[in-house]
Amino acid sequence: MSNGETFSSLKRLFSKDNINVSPAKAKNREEDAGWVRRLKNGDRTAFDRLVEKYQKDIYLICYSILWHREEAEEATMVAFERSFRKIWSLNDEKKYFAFLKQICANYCKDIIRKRIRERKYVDGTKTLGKEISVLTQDPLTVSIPKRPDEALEEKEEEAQYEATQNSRKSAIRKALSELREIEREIVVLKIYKELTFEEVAVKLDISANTAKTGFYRALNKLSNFQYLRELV
Amino acid sequence: MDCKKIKGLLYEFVVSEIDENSRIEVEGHIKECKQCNLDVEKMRDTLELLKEAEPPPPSSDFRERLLMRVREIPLPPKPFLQRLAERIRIPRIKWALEPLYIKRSLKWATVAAGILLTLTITRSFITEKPHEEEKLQRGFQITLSEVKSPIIIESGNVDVTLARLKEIIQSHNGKVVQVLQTDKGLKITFSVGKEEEGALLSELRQLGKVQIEKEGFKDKNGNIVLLLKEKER
Repeated sequence: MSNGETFSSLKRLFSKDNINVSPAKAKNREEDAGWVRRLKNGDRTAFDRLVEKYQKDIYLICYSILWHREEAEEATMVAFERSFRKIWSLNDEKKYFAFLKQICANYCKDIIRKRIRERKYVDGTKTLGKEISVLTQDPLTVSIPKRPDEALEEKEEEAQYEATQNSRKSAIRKALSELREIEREIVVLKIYKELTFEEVAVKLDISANTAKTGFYRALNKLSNFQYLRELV
Repeated sequence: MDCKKIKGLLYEFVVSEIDENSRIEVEGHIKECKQCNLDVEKMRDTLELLKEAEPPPPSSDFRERLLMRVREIPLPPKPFLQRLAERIRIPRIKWALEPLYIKRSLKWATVAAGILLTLTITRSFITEKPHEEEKLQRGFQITLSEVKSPIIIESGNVDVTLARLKEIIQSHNGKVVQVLQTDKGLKITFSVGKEEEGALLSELRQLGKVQIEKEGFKDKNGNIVLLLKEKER
């Protein structure tokens, strides 16, 4: 047994991390840690397991920041790729998901900055103070220019319906973007993935109580946004 | 049931994932409490809005593309420091102490030698105490080590000799600095001008049995130190 392994096993033995942790969470951590260790020892299939396990979560989290399918997919891929390349800088193997999330968040921030720089998808009202909240309209619909000579009269009703639909969507997106990161993650995982609070807690490595209070706080915040209230 | 407890159950109530007893309780409370009723409505609306903005599932080939892309990356090499740490082996403590076990009889000799060595080293670092501290240690027990060889006068009657000595010193424009009773006799310290010094010393010889060395009777301030002893009978 080499020194490196001896030290890491000693560290694991004496770390306080695994005390007062629910069995499900401990199991989840050990699973991740095992796969990361296998990857470090040169087993590539272990990383496939990690990808299978987390791809949907990361995609959802990316989507809830970027609100664009292709970009969210790209962001997910980049996050996994970077986490693979930088696997050696992950010292605490248990925290792979947090590591991945951090990479993902940094990449998404870069993209949003780029969007601001290029004035892409940016709402007419300038809200540069809050970086995240800039994105208020559906990027797909905004990027398609509407031709004025189109026979609008016939589709007036439909267009109006679509417009309200889009404004509703963009309002929710804006509201979600104004939440704290962890709250947004809880909401996304809870509502779109339909997990229980315990499962969300295991996934995000927080306590079930924190997940629950965070979720309620987030919903409270959302329902207090004036522009959301006007919609209903 | 109070509002606070109800608030923790609202979500389960709205999505109807609540057990029957709690549901009845919450329903009963909502009918009475306006605020909670409002909260339920708010939450229902918010959840509805959130459901509208549900992200579309990723494209069908997304998983394959992701796996393909990851599989193309070469395995990252182990960092340099990590490889280094694995190559270096920490010597076992027993191995490090092995010289001590070669000969049991040598062990105590080694220990003794070590003690001796430490003693000599520490002793060499301890300097002798300076004279100033030694000077007025206990009452009159004053050592005269500050002067190499003071002038020593032995006389039958100390008081008379002291009076005559004072006269002589004054006649040469000298000044008595200090008169101290020590265990060896009276210690008299006085100062005198350089040109008068020789004449004074020659006059001192008339006082009785006088010992004067060529030098070494002056202290560090340039005062002459004289010891007046009673003659032994």
